[in-house]
Amino acid sequence: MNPDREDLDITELLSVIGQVGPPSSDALEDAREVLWSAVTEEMLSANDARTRPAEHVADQPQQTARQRRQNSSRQTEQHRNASPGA
Amino acid sequence: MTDGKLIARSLCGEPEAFVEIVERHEVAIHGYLSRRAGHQAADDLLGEVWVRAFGARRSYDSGYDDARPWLYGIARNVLRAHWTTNQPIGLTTPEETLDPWDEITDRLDSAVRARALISAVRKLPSAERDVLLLVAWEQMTPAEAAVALGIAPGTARSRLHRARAALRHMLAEADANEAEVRK
Repeated sequence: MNPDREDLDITELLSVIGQVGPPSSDALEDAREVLWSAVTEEMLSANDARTRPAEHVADQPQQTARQRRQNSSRQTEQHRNASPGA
Repeated sequence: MTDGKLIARSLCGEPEAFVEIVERHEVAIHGYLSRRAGHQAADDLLGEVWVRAFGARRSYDSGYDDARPWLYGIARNVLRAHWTTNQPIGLTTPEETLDPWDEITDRLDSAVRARALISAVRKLPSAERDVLLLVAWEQMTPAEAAVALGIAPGTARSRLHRARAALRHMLAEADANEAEVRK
C-alpha cells in the first residue's frame, strides 16, 4: 500500500474513532449561563466605574465587591428568567 | 459579522457581543472536549472554556476572522488542567464508535485496526498527537492547528508528518503481527 493511500485510511479510521454524539441543549445552556455571569460582572463593573466617584470606590472596596456579586447574581437570574424555554 | 469584529465589539462596551461567538462555536468546542475527555467531562468543562476565553479576549489577534483555532487553544489548556487531576488522555473505544450493523467480517477487521490505531495514537508524543487530532478530528488545517497550539505553521506541518509516519509504521507492525497470529 502506498503512503498516500495509508494516510487516507488512517484519516478515515481516525474519523470513525472520533465520532461523538451531539451535546445536549441543557449542557450548552448551562455553559452559556456561566459565561453570562462573567459578562454581567463585567457590565456591572463598567457601570460602577462610570457612575461612582473614584474616591468613594476606594473608600469601600469590600462593600463594592459584595454588591457586584449580588447584582451579578440578580442580573443572571433575570437573564435566566428571560431566556426562551427557561 | 466576523468573529474578530464581534470580539472587538465585546471589548468596546458591549461584552455581551461575546455570547454570539459562543453560540457559533459551542457545538464544535463541545465535540472537541468530548472526543478528548468524554461527554460528561465536556459538559463540565465547556463553561470554563467560555469564561477563560472571555477573560482572555484582549489577547485575541484581530487579524484572524475565525475565532475557532483560538478557542481550541483555550479548550486545550482547560483539558490540560483537567488531565492533571484526572486521567491523562481520553480516546473513545472502538466498541462505542463502530457501526454495529456493518457486515460482520468488515466490522471485526475494522475493530482490530481501530484498536491498533488507538494504541498507536496513545504512543505518539503529545505534541504530535495534538496536531494530528486537531487536523483529523476537528477538520483544521495545519496552519489553524498551529494557531490553536501556539506554534509556527511549519512546526505543525512537520509534527503532522512525523505523526502520520509513526502511525503508518505502527499500523504496519500491528498488521504484520495480526497476520502472524492468523497463520
